[in-house]
Amino acid sequence: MSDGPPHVVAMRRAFDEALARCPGEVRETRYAFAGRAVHLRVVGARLAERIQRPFAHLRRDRAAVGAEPLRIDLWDEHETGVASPADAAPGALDHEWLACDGTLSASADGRYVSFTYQDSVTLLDRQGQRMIGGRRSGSHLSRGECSKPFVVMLTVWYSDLRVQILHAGLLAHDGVGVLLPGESGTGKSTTSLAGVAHGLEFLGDDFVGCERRDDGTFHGHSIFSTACLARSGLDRFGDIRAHAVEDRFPEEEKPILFLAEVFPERLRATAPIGAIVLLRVGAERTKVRPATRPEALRQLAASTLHTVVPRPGRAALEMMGALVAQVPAYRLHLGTDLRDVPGGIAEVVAQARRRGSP
Amino acid sequence: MNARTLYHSEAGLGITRHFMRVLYWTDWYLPSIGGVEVFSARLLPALVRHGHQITVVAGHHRTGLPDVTARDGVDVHRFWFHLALAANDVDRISELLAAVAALTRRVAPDLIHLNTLGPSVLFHLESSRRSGAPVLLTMHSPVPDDAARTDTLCGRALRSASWVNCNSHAVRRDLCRLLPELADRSSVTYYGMDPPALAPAPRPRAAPRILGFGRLVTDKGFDVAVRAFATVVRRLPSARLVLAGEGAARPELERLASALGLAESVEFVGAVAPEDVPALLDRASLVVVPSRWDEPFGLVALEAALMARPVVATRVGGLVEVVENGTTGVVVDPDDPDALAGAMLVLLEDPATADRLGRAARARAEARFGWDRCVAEYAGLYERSRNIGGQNA
Amino acid sequence: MPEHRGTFAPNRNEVAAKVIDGELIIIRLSDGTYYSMDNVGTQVWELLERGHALPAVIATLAAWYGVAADRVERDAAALVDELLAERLVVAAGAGGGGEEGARPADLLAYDAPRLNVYRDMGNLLALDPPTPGIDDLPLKGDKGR
Repeated sequence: MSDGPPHVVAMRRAFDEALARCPGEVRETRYAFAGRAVHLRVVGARLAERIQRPFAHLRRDRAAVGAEPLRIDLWDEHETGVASPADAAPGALDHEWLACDGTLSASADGRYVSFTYQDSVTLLDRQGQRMIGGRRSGSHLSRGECSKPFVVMLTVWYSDLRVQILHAGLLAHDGVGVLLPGESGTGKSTTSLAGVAHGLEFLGDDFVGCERRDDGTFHGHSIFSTACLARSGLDRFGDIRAHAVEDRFPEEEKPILFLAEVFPERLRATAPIGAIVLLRVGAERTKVRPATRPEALRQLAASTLHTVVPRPGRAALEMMGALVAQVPAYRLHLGTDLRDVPGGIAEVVAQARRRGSP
Repeated sequence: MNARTLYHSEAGLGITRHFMRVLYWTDWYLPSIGGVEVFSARLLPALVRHGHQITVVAGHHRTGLPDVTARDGVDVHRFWFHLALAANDVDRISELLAAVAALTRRVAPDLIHLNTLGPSVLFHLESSRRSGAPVLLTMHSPVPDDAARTDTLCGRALRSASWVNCNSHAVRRDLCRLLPELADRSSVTYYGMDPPALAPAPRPRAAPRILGFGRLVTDKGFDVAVRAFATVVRRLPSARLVLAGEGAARPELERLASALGLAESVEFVGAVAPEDVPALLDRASLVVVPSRWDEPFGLVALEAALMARPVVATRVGGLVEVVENGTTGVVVDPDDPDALAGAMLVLLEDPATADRLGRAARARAEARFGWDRCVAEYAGLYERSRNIGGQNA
Repeated sequence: MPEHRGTFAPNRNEVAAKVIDGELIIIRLSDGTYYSMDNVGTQVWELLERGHALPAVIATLAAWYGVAADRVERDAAALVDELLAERLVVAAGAGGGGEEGARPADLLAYDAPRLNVYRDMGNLLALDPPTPGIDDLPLKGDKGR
């Protein structure tokens, strides 16, 4: 295919060139993202290792039959000697916006969107179902790319599939998904980690997908298996702390945990959402109280709208409204003992079941 | 040099200059790019040099910017207004209200200068009541339809302003028609722009180029220009129409040009960066501004004038204040391809007249729409606000 | 005019409200209309929220401010009518009690409560979104899936 804006043609050529130069460095893996087939190809062994890590729990060994997979093609510029095309600079497509310290661009017909950030360029062809990206070096990947690779382009891709990205944690107890909306600093990450450490299943720490099925039920999808916690918070999880990746990152930044490596059997790809939990830390003892729909919607919508890029639109807001209308919400007051977390979550699920949800 | 130094040195010379503390509201500030942002970024440092102390209240546009920055002697405070409002997050909104109220108390402004009738006006209305400072409201865009209502943010902001200045007489007339009470507390301040560094070359004659630039949307009326151009090119086969800019109407415009057999003579060059506009104008013989909506001002026509290009414009809004029919350009009715064609042909077939209009346009632009004059007018408005007193209910 | 003897409660299903520093912000979630009140208006809202019937609210405010009860009654009744018309409160039946709370320390002079209404917030937000939204990236035509 040689048609498309010059930027797009150049990106395709650059990847093909990288492939041709380093055939021995190609790593191919397959996944299911929200149940859809994905085929990842990375030129550059070190880069491949890093990019694959947060998706390890979504690996599928065989190619899925049926629908065309999303093809994600990345190359390591340093390793292959192929630079990102010069006209992949911001301004190459028709519209552009500043977002997350990077630049989001789109072609006028919306078919091609691209995100340029520091040392990476990622292009998504929404019609051709292909993502192409160059990374300056697999050895010097930015922290964001290590924990949540191509998150902005994935957000667009998921959104096209009507899977809305929410800024929330998602755990599962006894097969029932419990959504934890909230800003960083509300104790969400500590709670999630405490939950997983004591037997709950983990689907996400801060970005998860939410899909409404034809039967009207809501399902949460895991996107990344990573969790980030401030060092001080991580210190409460002695044995897990050793797994945290932090060597290359500056003092102030949070270490990354690849939970598929710490608790491989507790990572889950999908769960029906049975309850929404608003956290309140610093209580005397753990207790569960019902929360109102407006409260739940406010916390979910506010943090999602603040954090997800591109910002969720009308469809996402409607889905969030429908989600809180259907799924019961609770306030979980947590004391200082992290061992109470799984019990608290179990209590939430029990109460939700009594009200007649999944 | 800070404001106090200026005051003392001038006091020594017997000059009394009063500096004011100004709280300047705008929806967005740099590095966000837009008309008001660019205008504010040029105006405020100039007013700081006049001795005023200016604090900007704006919305966060780009994540990663700190909440408070200082730029060119201006403190900029950014708040997450728009996301809190979009999410109907009443807790966050209350916190923002408290934060803005606290900032207003700290700044203790002598004047609140409102440059927006956008959503953040909620925070201004709720915080400025307690401050008691006079409010200067600058209209950068047309008067909203619900300006006369008391149950809207726009309506309340307009009524409670101590003084409203508009960027054209057309806007001021609209405003006073809807809110007659503003007749004696409103005025006009034209935008200012200085001649570009590029000295204009003589206009191309042998292969005349007609230029239209701006957002390619229906309101700008470029479809009328394309239809008019079909007539022009039949008489002058070497003529070309160049349309610079991007927008939702581009595909339709391209189809129209094709359907009229003009695919070879109409050129779409896409978006042009502001710094490349003088060069774009330099290559044009005349500029067409065929808007069908009430342009509040007509910055495009002003840019054309500064490059000594005559303008064919439509009789709408404030555009007629920038283009003077028969003196600096030709003015025709909107939505009238024949009239537009006639005007374009007159200028193309009579180059002497076109040259004369272009020169007059530039002279008038320098005399009436200069940048220093604009800054002086704002400084004057600030000074005058001292005597206006507090807000209206 | 509806009977002004009963209690009126905030319309929790439709409305989000918050008081901070004596200022009240209300959002009618169904259509994004914004409202604000301060001083006396906020006090009326808070007293109603605590379950006091309107006559008790009037008596309390008249006592706090030292103004004639019939003046407060006119103002409060007009305010409640407006709050009902805007669906910000609903009639909640007779009776009700609870602590009215102590007279606030920093009362300003009595002024008729005013409900500020802002119906154009939705329109204004639609005109100028902050960060790029997914709605800014519409995919025209067939997605090919």
